[in-house]
Amino acid sequence: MASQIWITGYGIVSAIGVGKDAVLRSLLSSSTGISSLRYLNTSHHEFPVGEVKMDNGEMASCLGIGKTEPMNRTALMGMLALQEALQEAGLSADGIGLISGTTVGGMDKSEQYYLDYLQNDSRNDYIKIHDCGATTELMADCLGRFAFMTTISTACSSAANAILLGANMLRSGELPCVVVGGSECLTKFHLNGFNSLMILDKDLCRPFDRSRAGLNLGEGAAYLVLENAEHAVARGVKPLAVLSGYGNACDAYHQTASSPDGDGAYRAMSAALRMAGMDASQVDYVNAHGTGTPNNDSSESAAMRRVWPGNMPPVSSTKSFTGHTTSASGAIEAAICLLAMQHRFLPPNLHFADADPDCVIPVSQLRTGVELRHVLCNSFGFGGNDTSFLLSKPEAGSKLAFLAKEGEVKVYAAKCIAAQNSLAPLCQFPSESLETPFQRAADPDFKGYMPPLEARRLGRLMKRAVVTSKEALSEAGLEMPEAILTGTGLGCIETTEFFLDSLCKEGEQLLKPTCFMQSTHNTIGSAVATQIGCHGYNVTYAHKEMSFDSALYDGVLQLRLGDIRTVLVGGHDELTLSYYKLLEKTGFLGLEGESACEASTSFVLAADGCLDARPLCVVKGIRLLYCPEERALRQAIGCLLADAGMTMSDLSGVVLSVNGNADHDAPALALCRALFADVPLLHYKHLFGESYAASGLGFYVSVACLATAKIPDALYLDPARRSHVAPKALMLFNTTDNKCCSLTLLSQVKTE
Amino acid sequence: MEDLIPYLKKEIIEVLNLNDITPDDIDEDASLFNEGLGLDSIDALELIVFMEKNYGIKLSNPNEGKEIFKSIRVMAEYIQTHRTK
Amino acid sequence: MVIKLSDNVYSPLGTTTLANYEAVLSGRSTLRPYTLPNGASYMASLFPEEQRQDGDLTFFERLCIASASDAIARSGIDASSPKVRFFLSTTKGNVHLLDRRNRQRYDADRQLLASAASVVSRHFGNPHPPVVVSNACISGLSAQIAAMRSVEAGVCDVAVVIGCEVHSEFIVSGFQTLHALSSDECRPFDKDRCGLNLGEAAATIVLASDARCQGTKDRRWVVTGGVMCNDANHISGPSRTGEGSYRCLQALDIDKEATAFVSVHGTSTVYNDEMESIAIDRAGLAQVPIFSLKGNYGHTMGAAGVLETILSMQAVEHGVVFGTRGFHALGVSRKVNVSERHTTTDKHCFVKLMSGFGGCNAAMSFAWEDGDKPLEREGGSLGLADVAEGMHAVSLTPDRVSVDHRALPHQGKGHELLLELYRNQMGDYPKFFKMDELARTGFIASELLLKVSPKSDYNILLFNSVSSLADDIAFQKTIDDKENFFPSPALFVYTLPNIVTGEIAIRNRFQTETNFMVLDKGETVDCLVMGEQAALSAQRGPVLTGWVDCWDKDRFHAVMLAVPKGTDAATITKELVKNINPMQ
Repeated sequence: MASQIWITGYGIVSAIGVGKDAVLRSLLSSSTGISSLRYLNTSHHEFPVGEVKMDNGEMASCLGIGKTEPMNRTALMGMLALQEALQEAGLSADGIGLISGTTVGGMDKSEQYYLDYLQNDSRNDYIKIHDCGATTELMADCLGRFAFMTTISTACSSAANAILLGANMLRSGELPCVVVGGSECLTKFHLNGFNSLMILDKDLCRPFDRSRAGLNLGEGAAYLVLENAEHAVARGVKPLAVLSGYGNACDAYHQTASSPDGDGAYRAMSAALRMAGMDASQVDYVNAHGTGTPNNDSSESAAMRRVWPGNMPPVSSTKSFTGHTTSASGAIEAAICLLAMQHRFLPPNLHFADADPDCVIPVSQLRTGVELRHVLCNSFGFGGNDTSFLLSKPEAGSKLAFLAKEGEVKVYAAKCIAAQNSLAPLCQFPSESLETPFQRAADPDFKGYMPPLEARRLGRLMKRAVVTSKEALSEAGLEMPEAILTGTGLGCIETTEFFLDSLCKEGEQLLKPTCFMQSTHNTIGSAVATQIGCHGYNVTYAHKEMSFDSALYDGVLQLRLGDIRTVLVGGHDELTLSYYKLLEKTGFLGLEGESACEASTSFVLAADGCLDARPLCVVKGIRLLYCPEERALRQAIGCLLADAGMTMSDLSGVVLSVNGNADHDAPALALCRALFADVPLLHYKHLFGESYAASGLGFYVSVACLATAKIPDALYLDPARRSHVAPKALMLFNTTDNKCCSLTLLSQVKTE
Repeated sequence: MEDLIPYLKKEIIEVLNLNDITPDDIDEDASLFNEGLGLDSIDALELIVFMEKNYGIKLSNPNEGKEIFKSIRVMAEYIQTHRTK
Repeated sequence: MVIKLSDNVYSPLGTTTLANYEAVLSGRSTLRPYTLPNGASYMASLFPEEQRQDGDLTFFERLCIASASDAIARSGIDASSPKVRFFLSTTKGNVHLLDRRNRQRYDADRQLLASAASVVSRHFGNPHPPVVVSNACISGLSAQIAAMRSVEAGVCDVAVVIGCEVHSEFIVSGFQTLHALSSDECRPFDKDRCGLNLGEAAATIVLASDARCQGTKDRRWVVTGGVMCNDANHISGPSRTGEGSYRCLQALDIDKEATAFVSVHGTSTVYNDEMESIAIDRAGLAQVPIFSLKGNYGHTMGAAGVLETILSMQAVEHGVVFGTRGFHALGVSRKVNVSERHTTTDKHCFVKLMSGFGGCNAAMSFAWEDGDKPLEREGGSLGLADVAEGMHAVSLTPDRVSVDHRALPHQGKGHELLLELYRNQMGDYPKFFKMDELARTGFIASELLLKVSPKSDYNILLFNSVSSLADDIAFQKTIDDKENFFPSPALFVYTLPNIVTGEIAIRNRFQTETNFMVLDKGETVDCLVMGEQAALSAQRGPVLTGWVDCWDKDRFHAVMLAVPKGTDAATITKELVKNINPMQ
């Protein structure tokens, strides 16, 4: 079956205006929103920035939010844009999905209150809204009851990748309608980070110009409503544009720099065109990533010249208007492209004066009255996470394949570094409960897994990710996966914390660029890609305890769609003592004297018949839900079982996310008993500890049980239910914070 | 000057996290980047921070680094003549 | 508060403001006799032939740029900034390019007003679409009023208002066939006056928000008021009671004691000067000195409002009331105080008055004030949306007509559609058959719209892209052949786009402000400008606004909105975009 993905609404908040009307006005008058600093409290006044011209109070009052609630700027901007998008589409949040991209999350507040976090309890509320996933939930909860939610964090391509996941969900029929995009506010943290990388220009940025000397940072948010055509027609809604194709590829070259020939960019653009079934010559305009750094613009130009060896379509970078809005940029630029298509103009690349032989020559003057049938929008991120998508006028859009492939998704390898488990075989996992509240992982010897010169640039967590990935691939007998999906709640928190600590204690100078580079969540997944040379689809999820589940969900989705045949899925989080103390004092993750741990898990999944290795188990299905009522959970469980041709009695156990804290576990246990009647309940966190990436451990444990045909005694919550019968199927139920939850159904591999 | 070279080697190993390399492994006249030690642009940025922190030498253009970080000896000479602390 | 930053007058009398002031003071003029192909002779103040040749730029464009360059340089502004907007006041722009012999080197659309204006604004690197005000003889004041309001409301910080007119056979033969031209030097308000002289000039005034020079104590020119009113009487003849001009003067609330003079229109036609004297007398200004500059410059049409404002400013700054060159004995029915010779004054305010075809009138007041005078006049702002409802819309194309987005059933197409609509929907206004196609299109749209809109006296502000092109081409045909040179007076009257606003005002007796602006193509970028300008007018009262374009009798496009008072720019823009291109 083939159908179209329609865009039926969008909203935008940026330096050139809050709302589409204001943005359109600025674009058509070639007025840049980049100016000297006004809102961000930093000493770096030498850098022009693209700030949204409203303070937090003004935004909150626009949204009708009280001053006392803990809020961060990313969430406030996001809400304004989300509201506009939903309004235009004529939808409420109820029952639809939200996929948001952000990297900064609540860092604006954390850098403001960091010293309070350490010294007193006055700002504890803000610790809870520090991370990316919490920021997404914060904005979503103010607008209604979304049915699905996750957060993508691939640095500057985050919002673009949110569009991709949303489109894949529509294509596989998971939901008829999703809101996708991103939000990112300016912070001292990343302003100083970019400054430490010496890629900020003290003048207005000049993408593609010979004299370009760096980027100007910006901030903003934008969201698009993606809807499958049938659903929109049924509602009587017309498309504003059609999403005709998209591609995601990894440059796999360097942590921050792009390859000279723009390999990842070329692959992403080509993939988008291929998916749309279009020839490059049909593209009427390219909205380039065009940050204004010498490296990006020449690399992107090289890639564009490969896609268009002959006539180049008009190109411009609208970052000359908005500044580089980092994680939000993909959606902000999509919104600008939509405005350009609807209102028939080519947005100019401001401040371009002098052509660079290494670069394309962009459109430097506004052109109106231009028919834009197909527009390609580029969005690239640190770590070479490159994404391109193609937007078309409604009458010109492509149809995309909307179908699920027959055949099963199987797990072929599972590797783990957590607590005492250091790459142990599946049959040996810890059987003793932990004693210490703060559980560092027992690292293997990393030597031999990666060249020393490269290893020194990788933090502990990245090394663990590389090692578990390489081990998993080797176990599955797979040289190169077609996709790498990573889940991490906090990313490399050790270096992030180091950078924040120096920033807050020593001031805005002499900060280490290496630490900043490692503060982006996707640095883990891109390090894995670089180490194994994988140019395939590469996305990182950062949604609290759902990070790994989201990565797994995306992997299964794409395998089912037949877009990929093999995938490497990982869940990785580390812990520092001081972050542990923050978690403990806020009672977050349910930690009150309970153990916290570090966890790195990597899995190889593949469509049936693609790998020669012996499969460990079958993934029958996975569902992610947001704040479901009991009825919705029942329905989801019923569907999962029915789709797998199973009933409740086929389940050998339900693997729970309880962590031993009685208060925290009580509601989850009550719910499970109601939902799963007398299926034995299993738990695993008492063996490893609690972590944002713990659900990866849950998955690891479940895979191990099914692969070894045995559920160890230590897993049973109720010793009386112990059984030595080989398990047939397990349901993983992750509901750590009683908001996001996931259900994953695994079964044993049938022997013939 | 001759004191500075071994000191620099030690510091660079520390700053750039060059595990497993001893000061003796680094030839003070060999190129730090590309064929020699194989450092890259991020290392150059780290060295720029190092220069400012330890010697009060401010480099605002990453391209200046290319000349100054040619080898340990060139670097030492540059520090000798430009240091403000 | 809106102040003047700088100015320039570029005329056959001199290329700077000061040179022009001195020329007027010494009583000079460059009026010379010329002859038309049909042998008719006329007096005009024209630039010498050697300066008039078209090059990469047309003569018209060069004049605009020359004048604007000087004014911009004196103002110290960066004209390429998005905070600056350009307004061009002209009636006919590059109309001489309609003559095939003049056209060769240019693109076909160069004759369009917006194309010429874009050449000028792009020369200065300005990113906005320039606004061409083409409101017959009052264009120069209409443009300044639009500019003043734009600055007050924060649409821009600085407005560069250029007025320019050059003459060709097109204009001259038109006026000649209306018997409006005098073969002698004109004599404003004189008993022996017998018609006008045409003149060429460019003039530029740079207006800005006073925030730009707060703190300076130097005297500066402040725009203290600007009003437009239509006579709602006749499209080419002035009102016998001076209704529109009288209402303008009344609305300005003039302090007689502080007013140095009224710089009047004084074209030296029998009817204009008579009408003005009545209006001035009725407004209680009979004692205030008045003068006309037409005796020095002739009628510089689109440039006149700007040029005469600037020279009046010079007069006040020098403590002078100009004499009226050509005036000797009062020849109007009311005893107005026509200044015959230069006299002195110590007053610091003046009024500029003008009227034009289409029944439009305008008056502006200016004051030369101390810099430290406290702020009194607070400008409005375009504000946020509060009146979204209450707007009505009509869309009219050759094969579709809709009222408030509902299609109206019909049989005819194109020209026939207009006739059908007239017969079925109105039928009581035979003047309709005298109208040209542009006026018919606008008229029908307005009739349909007013049927569904609340009763009120609407201001009228219409826009299009081709001005009066269909009539321009038709009129040009009557003068193409030098052997068969019979310019048509009936056609010439309609070669001003603002006639359509006059027709609507007359039909409905709207003695309100009427104005016409020409933009590029009706793209969204133009709709934004339309929304802004319409919102500025809507601050003063309800407005009929929209797009009325006509290429020939079967090809037209009208989108007209009835906009309630106080509606904001974004709401109007949105409605315009929705109606002008329903696909967007």
